[in-house]
Amino acid sequence: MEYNKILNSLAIIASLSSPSIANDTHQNIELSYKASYDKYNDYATHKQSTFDDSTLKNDVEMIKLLEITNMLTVIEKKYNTKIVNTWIPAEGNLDKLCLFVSLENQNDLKLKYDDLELDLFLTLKDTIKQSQFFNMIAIM
Amino acid sequence: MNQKHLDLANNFNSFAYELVSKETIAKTNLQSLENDVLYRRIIFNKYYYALYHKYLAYDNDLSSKTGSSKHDAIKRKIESCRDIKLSQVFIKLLNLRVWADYHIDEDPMALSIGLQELNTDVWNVIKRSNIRC
Repeated sequence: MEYNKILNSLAIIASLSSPSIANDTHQNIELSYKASYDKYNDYATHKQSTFDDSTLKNDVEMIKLLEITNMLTVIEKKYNTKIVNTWIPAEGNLDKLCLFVSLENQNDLKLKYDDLELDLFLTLKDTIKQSQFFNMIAIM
Repeated sequence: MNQKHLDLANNFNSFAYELVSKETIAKTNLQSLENDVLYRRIIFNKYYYALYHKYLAYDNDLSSKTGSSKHDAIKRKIESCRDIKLSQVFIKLLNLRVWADYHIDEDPMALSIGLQELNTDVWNVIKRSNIRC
């Protein structure tokens, strides 16, 4: 999945659900290219067709994006950082997914926290337990 | 026993195990060597950290310490406990993880590691209720 596009989609959704993440700076973050082998749904141009249960499929994707938005918001707030990239390996092929994140000041945070990935896991443990799609968070 | 390390170890292990188990499906759309490298980097990294955190879960002395020296400390302890299988798997994963995080351009051997065999090796160690030396 091309997550520079996903983050743009998240910003659109966030503008409806979470004003804190929808500011202009989020759009301006320079994103590095990461694995392109997952499919991508472009919600900005997606037609709201009534055929083939597309509305239902869209709801599922919307919930997933909202879950991602929620997690990213928690991370940015707790670590006073910006998410510069996200990635979900093998999305669509696994029972439960892992959300990989890359943080703007990641190297500084690794020095500040003895085990940043463990701290991140504990921070989002309850959120992940309630998630319909994710069972893990990790750092790229 | 430290539950937070154990929980994270279980998560990493489950994730890596499923990635390997569904390798054929998950890699259906992988077209390039670059993406195969990426796929392996995730698996090696997460399997290593699964074993790393599983070990820390049962070693209160090490888990209470801070700093990156824990990697070397675990290696020394595992090597000294004469558990050959544990030592072999840990060292293998340690080397693969170092490749995955730092030396992906240097050692093509990591690309020929059998992932199903790795799954079996890790499972035979990590399934133990306690891997403390």
